[in-house]
Amino acid sequence: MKAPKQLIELSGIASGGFLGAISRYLLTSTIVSPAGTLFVNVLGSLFLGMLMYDNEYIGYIDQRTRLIIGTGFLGSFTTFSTFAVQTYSLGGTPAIVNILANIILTILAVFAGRGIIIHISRRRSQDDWRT
Amino acid sequence: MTGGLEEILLVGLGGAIGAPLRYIVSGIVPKARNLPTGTLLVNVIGSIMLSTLTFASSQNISLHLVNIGVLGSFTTYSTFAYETSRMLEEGRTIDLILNIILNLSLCILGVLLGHQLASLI
Repeated sequence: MKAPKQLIELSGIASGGFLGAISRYLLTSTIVSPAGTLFVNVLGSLFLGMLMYDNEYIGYIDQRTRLIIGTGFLGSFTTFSTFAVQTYSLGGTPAIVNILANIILTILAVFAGRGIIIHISRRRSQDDWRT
Repeated sequence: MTGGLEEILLVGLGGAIGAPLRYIVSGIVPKARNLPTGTLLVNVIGSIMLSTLTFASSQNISLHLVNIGVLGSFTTYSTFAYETSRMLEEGRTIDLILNIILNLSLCILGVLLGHQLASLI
C-alpha cells in the first residue's frame, strides 16, 4: 500500500501551501512591489536555512514536518514567478539591482539561518553540560 | 490591495493546489549534472504562465486563486536559494553559476514568452 502514504505527504504539503500562500499574500499586500517580494524571499530563505540545518545535522524535526514546513509552507511563502515578472517589468538597471538583491540576500539569509541554529544548539548543549 | 476573507481563502486554496503540484512535478524530473532541474522546471513553467495571465487583459478573474495562489506557490525561491547555497558551500562553482544563470535567464525568457502569448489572446 504505497498510495495512502503519498496521499498523506501531499495533503501535508497542501496544508503548508495553504498557509504559506496566505502569509505571503498578507505580507506583500502592504508592499505590492519588488521590495515586498524580496522581503518574503529573504525571510523564507532564512527559515529554510534553519530548517534544513536541523534536518541534516541535528534531526530534531522529522521528515514529515520538513515536508509540511519546508516544501509546503516556505516553498509557497517564497515565489520565483512573481520575482521574474517584476524583474521583467522593471527593466534596465532597476532589474539588475532587483536580481542582485534577491540572489545575494537570499543566499546570505540561508547561511544566517543555519548560523542561528548552530548558535542555539551550542548554547543548549552548554546549558546541558552545566546542569 | 488586501481583499476580504474570500480573497484570502482563494489565495490559500491556490497555495494548497500549487504546493503539491510543485512537489510532484519537480520530483519527476531527472537530474542533469547534479543540478536541481526540478526546481528550475517549475520556476520556468510558473513564470511563463504568470506572465501570460498578468499581461492578458482578463487578468482580474484569476488574480487571487491562480496568479497569487497557484502560480505563486507552484514556483519557489527558498528552495532555489538553499540549493544554490549548498553549491557555494561545497565549492561547486561552475554548478553554482550555471544554476543561477539558468534560473534567471530561462525564467525571464519565460516571462517574455508569456508576454507575447498574452498579446495573442
